[in-house]
Amino acid sequence: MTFEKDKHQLNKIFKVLGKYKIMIAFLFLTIIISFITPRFLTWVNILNVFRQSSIVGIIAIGSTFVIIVGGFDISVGSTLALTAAMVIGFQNFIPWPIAILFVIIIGGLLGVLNGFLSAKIKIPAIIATLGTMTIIRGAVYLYTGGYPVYTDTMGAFSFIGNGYIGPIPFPIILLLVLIILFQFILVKTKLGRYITAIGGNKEAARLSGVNVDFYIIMAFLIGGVMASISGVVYASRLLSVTPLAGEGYELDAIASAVIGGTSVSGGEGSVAKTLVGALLLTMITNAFNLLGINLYFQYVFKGIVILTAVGFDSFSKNKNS
Amino acid sequence: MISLCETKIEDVENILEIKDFSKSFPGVKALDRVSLEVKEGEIHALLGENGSGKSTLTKCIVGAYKKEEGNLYFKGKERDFKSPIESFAEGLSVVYQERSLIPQLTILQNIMLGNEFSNKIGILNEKKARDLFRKVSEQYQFNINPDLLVKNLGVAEQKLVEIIKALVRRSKLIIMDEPTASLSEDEIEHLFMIIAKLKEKGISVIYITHLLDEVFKITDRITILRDGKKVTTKQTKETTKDEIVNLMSGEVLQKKDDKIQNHTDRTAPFLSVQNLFYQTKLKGISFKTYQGEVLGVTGLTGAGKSEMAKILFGAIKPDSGNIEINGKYLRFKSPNDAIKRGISLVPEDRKTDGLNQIFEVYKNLSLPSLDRFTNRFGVIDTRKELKKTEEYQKKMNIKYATPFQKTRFLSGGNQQKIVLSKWLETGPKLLILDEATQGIDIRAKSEIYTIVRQLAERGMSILFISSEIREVLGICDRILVFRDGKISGEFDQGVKSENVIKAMLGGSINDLDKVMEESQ
Repeated sequence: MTFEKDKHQLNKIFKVLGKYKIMIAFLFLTIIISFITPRFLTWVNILNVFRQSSIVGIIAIGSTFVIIVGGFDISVGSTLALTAAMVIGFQNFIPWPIAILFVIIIGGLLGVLNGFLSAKIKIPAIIATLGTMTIIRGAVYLYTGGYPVYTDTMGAFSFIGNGYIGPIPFPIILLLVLIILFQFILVKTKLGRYITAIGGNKEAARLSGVNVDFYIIMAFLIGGVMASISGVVYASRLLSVTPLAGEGYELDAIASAVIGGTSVSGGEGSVAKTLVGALLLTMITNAFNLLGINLYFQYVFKGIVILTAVGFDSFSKNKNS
Repeated sequence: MISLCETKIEDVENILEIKDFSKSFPGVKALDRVSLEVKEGEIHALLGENGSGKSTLTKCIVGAYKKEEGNLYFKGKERDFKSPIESFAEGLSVVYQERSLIPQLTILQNIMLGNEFSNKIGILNEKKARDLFRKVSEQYQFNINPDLLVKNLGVAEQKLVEIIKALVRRSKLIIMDEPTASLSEDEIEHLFMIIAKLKEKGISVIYITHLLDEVFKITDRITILRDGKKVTTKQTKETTKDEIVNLMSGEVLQKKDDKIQNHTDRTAPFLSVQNLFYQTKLKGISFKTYQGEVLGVTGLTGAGKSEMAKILFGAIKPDSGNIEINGKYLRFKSPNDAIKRGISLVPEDRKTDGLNQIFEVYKNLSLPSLDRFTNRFGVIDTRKELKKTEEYQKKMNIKYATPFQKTRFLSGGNQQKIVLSKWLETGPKLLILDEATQGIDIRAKSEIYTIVRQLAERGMSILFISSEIREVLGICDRILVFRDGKISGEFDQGVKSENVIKAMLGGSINDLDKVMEESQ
């Protein structure tokens, strides 16, 4: 009987561990790295990790919504490039705040297009966004003519990517504000509830009166808007955009969401945990750089982290059912 | 006679013996030292309310779940099956409630799947497979074309294919989980014939069901589970239905034979349907429903009942026909439109259509009426949701650990009560229930009947769709019978069941008498 009680307790501990495993892995890694290199846990480096996470982190907010609704969006890297190039280019004709507004609308429309192709035309999301990814990347080349776009104005626009509020870089504040806002939208609003319901069981959601197609499109819209905000930060930070900008970012964003425990089959996930996933990925790069380890190893290690996180999840889920 | 039967069974070896099986899930002891013996050639019923542990026991036997304690002896040897594949290869197979065949393959391909005859380099030996299929078919007098695609088969034929699959592997014990669910009376008759033949050949069957009529018709012994414990094993011939019902529920349920009170308000119809056509399923359906009326709709599977329900709810679009509500002509584009007009549907399949199984109880409950729980900015008031959930928990007697529990961990009866609650919260004027009591235990069934009658009393119009004639006769004020997409009969409360059955089957069926005999 006592044995059984112990077992029960053990099960409980495992359950809690399972729930916070991403946090635990994060802390564990932090401790290890800070033992190896004292430069890791310094204020400057911590801010650095956060700032480096901000661009992919903002995209990953959108990816989390799209994955929760049961989709995938691999076009967001291209959307980042297009909106980043345009937000600089447009400033030749219009003031920068209006340029930002324009590119966010463009990002939103591209998201709506993805959602439409997936929900209405019924193209599997990964294929639909493979198509739009290619088209949007083509548009970037057409818009830029294949050359980097840059601006010399070191004015207010550059504040978004380079400014500080107090001691904290503005991109970090933007990232955190968006994380909090969208975590709230996900768990506390009708929009978030419906998106989660659709990802969990599309037919049950439809038969409960949820306008399924509309909310799928809304999730993709959030994906597109986040990619364009990210594009603005990117452009403001570097003040120049090459046609290759943002390549592979969509994969880092999906990886962040998935490492953060977003269910690949939809219906479950959290924006806050996605942030931890994004930080974890950046931290790996950061630590490898501090330690002077070959860049190529980073790819291998990142891949292993993704497989471990998802593998752990899938395996334990499979065992439970 | 009885003693002869007993000695006969005593003589026979046990094909399966399980001792003290235990299994827990978080928060529940699903099996608590359950033992069971099944003899060669025995048809052994496994009974119990939902959540009593029948499915868990089955899954532990075949190795789909890992048991925590206990021993299993199969064919005289102690075994510990690690997976259903292993137990299947040893001659222990399961015909699951849900279909487990691959729709895109032919019958023969499905039967041979995982056990194909092939030469050294993997080329399939088609002839050998066909010979085996023919041999088994002759032996058991199956008459089915092995080249048909499974996706073109009816539910009954698919069950048959699963049984043939078990026989081809020389199974000694077949576990059938609710095999007659969604079968028509004819198909059930055929299944019973097959089971009798299995028994003749010395093959044992563990028969899981909710329908006591079936149990008394075909089984030798009955084992009853309650709350994860074994209550008893009885010889079928030495017990009665009443005794079994009492053993299952653990208390004496009084038989409810009170005449129901008719509250129909006939002044004006709430819903009026005219000449509904849909593909080959509905061929000109017209009827009216009134407030305060429970209108029963019955008929064989495939008669068009579910399609009609989905059309009224806006989930599918009819080819032609009119729907009027309160005298106003309406055309629904989506379920959302129907909900706004006060129509709710408790769908046939609660697992795939009724609930989001990875959602918490309270989130499932508020989903169709979420606007009631949000402010004008669309922000959800979770405290309000939890309060409502608690209200329904008390009103409907729903059993769950916390409102944060995911509904997939609940038993069928409790799941169905949550589906019902979520629709009542929308405040419907017309509630459509499609096979609402299918696969749930006796007590939950009778609770749902009571709720349905109460709702009608309060003026709700109810469309009660069910293929179980007895319950339709029991709780409906008026009954429509569907046959082959048309209404073949309309009856008032108090009609004899044989008249309803006649309308269901039509005049041309030869074994009408036999079916009537069964249902009485």
